[in-house]
Amino acid sequence: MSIEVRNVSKSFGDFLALDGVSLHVPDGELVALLGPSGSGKTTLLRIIAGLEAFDLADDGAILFDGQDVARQAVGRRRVGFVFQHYALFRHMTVFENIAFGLRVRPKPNRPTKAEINARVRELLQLIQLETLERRYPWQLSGGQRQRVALARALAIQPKVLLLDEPFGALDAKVRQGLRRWLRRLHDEIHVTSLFVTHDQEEALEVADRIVVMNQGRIEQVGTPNEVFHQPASAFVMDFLGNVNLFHGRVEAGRAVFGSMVIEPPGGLQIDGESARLLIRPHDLEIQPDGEGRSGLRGKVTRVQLAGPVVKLELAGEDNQPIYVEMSHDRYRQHPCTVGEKVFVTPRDSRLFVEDYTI
Amino acid sequence: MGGTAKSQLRGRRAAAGLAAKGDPGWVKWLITGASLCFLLLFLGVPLVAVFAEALRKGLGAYLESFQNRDALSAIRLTLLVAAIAVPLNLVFGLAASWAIAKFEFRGKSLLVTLIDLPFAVSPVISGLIFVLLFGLQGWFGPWLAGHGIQIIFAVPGVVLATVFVTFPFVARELIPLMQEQGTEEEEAALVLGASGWQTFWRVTLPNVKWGLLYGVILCNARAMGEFGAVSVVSGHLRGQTNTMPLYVEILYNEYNFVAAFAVASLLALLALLTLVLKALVEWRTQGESEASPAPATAATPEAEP
Repeated sequence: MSIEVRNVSKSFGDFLALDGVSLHVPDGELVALLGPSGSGKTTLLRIIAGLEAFDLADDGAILFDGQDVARQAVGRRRVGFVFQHYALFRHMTVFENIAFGLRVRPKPNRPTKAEINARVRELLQLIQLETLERRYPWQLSGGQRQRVALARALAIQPKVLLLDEPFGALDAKVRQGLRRWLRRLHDEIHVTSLFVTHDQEEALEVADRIVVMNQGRIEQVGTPNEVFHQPASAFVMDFLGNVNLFHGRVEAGRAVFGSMVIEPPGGLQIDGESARLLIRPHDLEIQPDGEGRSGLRGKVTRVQLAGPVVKLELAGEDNQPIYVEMSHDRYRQHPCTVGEKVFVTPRDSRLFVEDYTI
Repeated sequence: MGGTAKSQLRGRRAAAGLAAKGDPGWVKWLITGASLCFLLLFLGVPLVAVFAEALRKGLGAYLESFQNRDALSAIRLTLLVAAIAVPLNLVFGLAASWAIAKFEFRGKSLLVTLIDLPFAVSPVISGLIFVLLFGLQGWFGPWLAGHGIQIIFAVPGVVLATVFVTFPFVARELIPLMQEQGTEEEEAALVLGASGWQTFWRVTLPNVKWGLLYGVILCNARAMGEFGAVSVVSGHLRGQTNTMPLYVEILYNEYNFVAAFAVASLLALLALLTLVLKALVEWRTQGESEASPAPATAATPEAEP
């Protein structure tokens, strides 16, 4: 089932949490809502679930498969919601937790006891916790609780699955395992899913599509590949991984950043505008010397060899720190030491001038 | 053992200038002993005295004190008052704490303050307020008298005063508990398709059941034991508006010590029972909230003679 959000706004007092957000989630996709805290992603998720009402704007609407659900009560929307802190019913066993959504159905639609049992067993198998059905939530680890919360949400055969920071409260190792498991699970059951996260790595790894949010607005929607390699704004690029940021100015159709000059094909028509250049650490290359090319001079201040890549820290002009990453192989070809003067050139970069992106 | 103690003492004297790492044994014993003596003096001795006085003329005389018509009526009235006040305050306390903990609305802090009012006001003043409202010279007195309704110096007054005085117990117990638990579990239930009513019965209520029971126990103890407020509105009519605490006072003033202490012993028994129940509930809640079932440490006999 597809989800459509149309021009939805939400304010809490003076604070505008969502500012005319529109979004389309195609049927069967796993989509990440990515953004820093306070960007409105959880509010959007809660509005889709019906746990929060949006501001009565002229044409705001939430549609499931083209049907307006804005007036539908939470329980009628058939959404599965997984809370950040699990929100398992503390006085119920794992089994009872999962069965809850089926047991509270009105008499005519309620499955029989045997059917409920069968369904819960099936879900227990799915989350690989068959042996723990009699445990109480406080007897489970964080990862186990999260899986029970997921099974409980899936028990009602939801039309859409909404997850609020599903792995936020877990430690790094469990988190990694669980997010791969979620990806596999989604490939099996194909329920339209939307999950909130502030962890870009998590979004890149798990999602079919990423919605990057900032200050109550959507900055970009795209596949992980698109948002990473063709960020629509400086914010998106900065949020999805480390970047080096340089401030400069447009002069005679070229963007000038100190000794580094970027000349886009066709030139720039807006002279005098301030420009920002963002370069990922792995897109910078160290050259022993300038050879008259456009680039930056810097002094090596730190070399970190431990880890999958070599990380260098340079002090550039005006002592601005520059971060460079390269493979160990590459480093061995041109090893450098702290204090050495080097020249860096961008292999790839993104230039942002007011409303103009290259 | 004495040797080590002595050598420890000597060591301590030697290290007098240094801060002690652990409290020396005698300090621990001194403090514990002092508290035990205090407890014995102010709780144990009176409790023993109540039962001793009640049984002074033998079990026969003790039991006979309850055969009296007035005594039976006082016991009956006390039970009746508690039977009305406790359920009323149970419902009110639940409703108020639910509203306060789970919803945002204007005037919330005012409501919280109002709930505490009966604790802040002296019970005698509480009683007087009802006299001023419903007494013959009070605001509604003439109207009530005109319709043949008597509240002050009658059972309704006693019930009203008791309800008022005991009304914070359940709410006070539940508000922090519900606030701490938040609303996520309720939201989860609603998303899963439960109705508001189902959410309340299956999620909210089970989560606070022990806190609720605790509040009810305390509320009941106070409802049966209330003296000040009830004394003002009851009029001390024997066999009609006397509750047990009031009846004890009357008997005592009549120098009928055995009967007075006999009725008082019933109230003391109630207090002991309350303590035991309270300890049991505390022990249960501990077991529920902690990761492993807690050992029975909470069941300390507080006032055993």
